[in-house]
Amino acid sequence: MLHLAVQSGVLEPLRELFGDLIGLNPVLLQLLVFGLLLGGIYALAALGLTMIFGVMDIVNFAHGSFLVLGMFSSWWVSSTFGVSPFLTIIVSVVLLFVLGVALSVLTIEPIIEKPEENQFIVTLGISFIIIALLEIAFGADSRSLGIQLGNYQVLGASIPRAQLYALVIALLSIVACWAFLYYTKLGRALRATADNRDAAWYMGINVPRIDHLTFGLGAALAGLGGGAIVLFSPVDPFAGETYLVKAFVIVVLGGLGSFPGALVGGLVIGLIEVYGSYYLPGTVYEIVIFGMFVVLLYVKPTGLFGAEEVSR
Amino acid sequence: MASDSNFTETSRRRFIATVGAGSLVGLAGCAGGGDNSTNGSNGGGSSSSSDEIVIGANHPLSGDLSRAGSAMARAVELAVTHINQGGVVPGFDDGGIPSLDGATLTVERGDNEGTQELGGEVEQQLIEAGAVAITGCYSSPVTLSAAQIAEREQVPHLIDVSVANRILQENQLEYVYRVSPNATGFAQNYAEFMPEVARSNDQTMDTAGIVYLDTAFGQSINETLQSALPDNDVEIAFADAYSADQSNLDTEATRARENDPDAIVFVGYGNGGIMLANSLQNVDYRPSLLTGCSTPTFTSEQVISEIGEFVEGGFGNNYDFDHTLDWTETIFTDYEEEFGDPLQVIHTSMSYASTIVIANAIEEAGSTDPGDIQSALQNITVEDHPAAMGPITFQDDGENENGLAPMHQVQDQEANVVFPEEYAQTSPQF
Repeated sequence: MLHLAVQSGVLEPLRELFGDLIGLNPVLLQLLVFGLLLGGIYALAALGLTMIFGVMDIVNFAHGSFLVLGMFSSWWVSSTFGVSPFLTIIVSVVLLFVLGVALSVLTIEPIIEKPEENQFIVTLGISFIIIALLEIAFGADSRSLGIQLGNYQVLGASIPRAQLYALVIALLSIVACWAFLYYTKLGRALRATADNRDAAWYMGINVPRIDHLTFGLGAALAGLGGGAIVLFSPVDPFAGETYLVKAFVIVVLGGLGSFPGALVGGLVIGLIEVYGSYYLPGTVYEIVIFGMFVVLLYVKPTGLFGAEEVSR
Repeated sequence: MASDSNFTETSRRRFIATVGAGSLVGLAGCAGGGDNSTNGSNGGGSSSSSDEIVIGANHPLSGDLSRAGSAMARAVELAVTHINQGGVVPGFDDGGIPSLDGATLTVERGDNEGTQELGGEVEQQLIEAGAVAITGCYSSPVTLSAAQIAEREQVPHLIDVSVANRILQENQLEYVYRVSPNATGFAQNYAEFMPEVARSNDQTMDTAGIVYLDTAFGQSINETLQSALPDNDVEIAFADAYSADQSNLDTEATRARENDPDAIVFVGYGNGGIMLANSLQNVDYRPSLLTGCSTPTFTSEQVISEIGEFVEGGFGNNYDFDHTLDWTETIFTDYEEEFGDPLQVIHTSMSYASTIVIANAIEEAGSTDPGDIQSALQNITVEDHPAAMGPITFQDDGENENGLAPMHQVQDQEANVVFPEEYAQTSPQF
């Protein structure tokens, strides 16, 4: 069997990888940098999704389109008014927070106690509407800010500044969210609602208001992610699909509702994607990612950082 | 949150089930009503009125290919306008189809949204609306499904743009013809033209690295390049596929920098071209020859402007108008007058030319019967057309014998044809 594998070239990628490891090929460091940067972006894209699910138990299929809306709003304000794209991230965050709250009040709250299929149809509908409106407003072409912030050089590896800043934004966001949840009264109310919605009601927490706030924050995090991603990546109305699929994998991999899980899950996916696409033929790395995803569901269904599930 | 959140046992199952169901609904949603402007059935192949001949245009008018698709549909309409008014298209001087007493053409548009499942559906609607011949569909999988319907209904379909070989090579289709070059033609043109352009200007092109989109389109071009480049004394340093859902091409750029070939050959859409340019800059690398095959990266002014200075001097081969003709200038002027936008989509050359071929076939057939038009197409040779290629005439397999994708270069942020010389707008610069 091993002989066949060697003959068929299956082991060639492994041989190349070990050769680079033994020879301390600098490309390994370069790929590590890109893997970490990509993972940070994926984590940022998954944050809002995990927050909304953690508190509201809603799978938000509009999350990808929120992300794209964040990208477009940041791109549009920056390119139209000549504002720094770092400042326009704030515009994206505020816009998406307001939109998130409005959508929660108008569309999510009326169906939050209804069967789950209603929720996913509604969020999917929201996604289609947002994408269609963006297409009408901006067309289907890819846009980019067209800025080059340059690179840092560390031990022969290039670190693109724009992606590094996006990674820093991701890390700061995770820390800020964690601090908000654990060190503020409102954060405790959010966690209490995530723990047990009925008990939260009895304890005097205004659960619908918490829901609106959560959905707004989740959307704002998508806006933050979108604003950061557009610093270095082109945007078109359909770009959210890529991030939505990856975000779902990351959320399940890291553990539903877990911020550290989103970060670790994002980094794992990012590293597999980068090393996999370099050493494996074609797009085989995607098989590795989804294979790992399926195996994890069997071995640890709660995800890497997920709590043990108990019946309420 | 998870650290102190206790979800019910059904939460995860519901999440996963919902994600799965959502994916299915999302896919199903793609099949939702296309905005095709067909208007009911007159029975296949019969025109809507005695002196109006319907031509179908099956293109992506919405979705991520809609910018090109809408322009292609407009090009069909402009060609029909030119034929109807007379004086622009050689052979149609008095307006309308001479052999049918000046009967005029009309265009029925259909929106396939760039989705395969709608390709056939829209084709059927166009036929039911009375189209005697159809052109489209841009995306190869969409064209594949549309072609099956055209064959079944025995209505000629002229592929304006769709490069996948298998559309015609793996299906014995009697009613389907392709005006643009196929993937093999594109790759062979590139493999022949680019080394010649480089070497005749004292540049070295002994090695090349290929970065291609991992779809039927990208794979088929890569396959031909793998053999055609060595045939032209260019060694393949590496070939790296990228997925349409990648958020950057940093890994591929790293691979390029590691191998440092004389030329990078990019095969993909505009979005991928922008990403590759960004990623090459991320690793501080630019090959001596930054090139592409069958990509808008070096031929679409919109994509060029998004990339900026980095793409300056890059080469790419793609179909185009013959810019040495006055006719082409008329097309550009009239397009902007008619639609209010400048003509900036290169695919329109193939849509316009396809419509001219259909008009010539109707003229030769002297009939609006799709069977007669098909018979005319089998033996037709259209010398007067505005595309940068020789006379359009079809082989037994439906491929255009003289399909051509000339080489362009980005000069001062504009794409100009630089080779072959008979179609060149300017000389290549290094």
